[in-house]
Amino acid sequence: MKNKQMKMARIENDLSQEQLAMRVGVTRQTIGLIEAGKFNPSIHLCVLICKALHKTLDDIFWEENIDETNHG
Amino acid sequence: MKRITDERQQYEIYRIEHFALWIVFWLLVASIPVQLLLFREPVMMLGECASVLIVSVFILISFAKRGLWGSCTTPSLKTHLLSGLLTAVIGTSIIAILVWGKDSFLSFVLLSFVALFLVAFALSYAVGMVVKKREEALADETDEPH
Repeated sequence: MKNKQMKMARIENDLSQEQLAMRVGVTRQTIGLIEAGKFNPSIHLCVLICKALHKTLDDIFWEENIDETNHG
Repeated sequence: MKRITDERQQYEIYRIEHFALWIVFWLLVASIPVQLLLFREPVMMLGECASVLIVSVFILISFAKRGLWGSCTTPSLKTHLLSGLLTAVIGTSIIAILVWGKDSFLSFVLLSFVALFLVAFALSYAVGMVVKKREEALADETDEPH
């Protein structure tokens, strides 16, 4: 499932994928794969991304499907 | 040496190595009966047999130390019986190739099948007990004090 929240947060911070990748210490491809929903980062990497984008874990990594299921 | 790959790249490296090494392992295992059929000289396969044995023992001990049995199974009577059966079938096939055409071929093969089954079953059972105990011990290590 695509991570649109992460992409939007990155754009809000005026960062390219490459710039975000450099800030958190991973490759641009890794950022792209996370945004495309094709790679699940570790909690450590999730926290680094959130700090770089000035967001919380819920803001970026909370899955909307799970949320909709829990609330009927 | 400082690692330059990120976690995703490292994960992909592990996956590639995982598949590659399992391919090598099974090719080694397959080469034993094939070479037996072609050359009928067990001594020529000592290297392959030793390699398979060392890797198998390493995997067994590593799994048991961490309280692991397998990805899709747990230690149970069914898995012990299956382990015994699989070992007996593979082992007996190899022995059958070695004693092909000799006197008392059938009785020797049957005896080998039963013996291999019993040994493999007992070993599987023993390892299963060790794995269960180790799993409990590891869980207790990380448990909060009451």
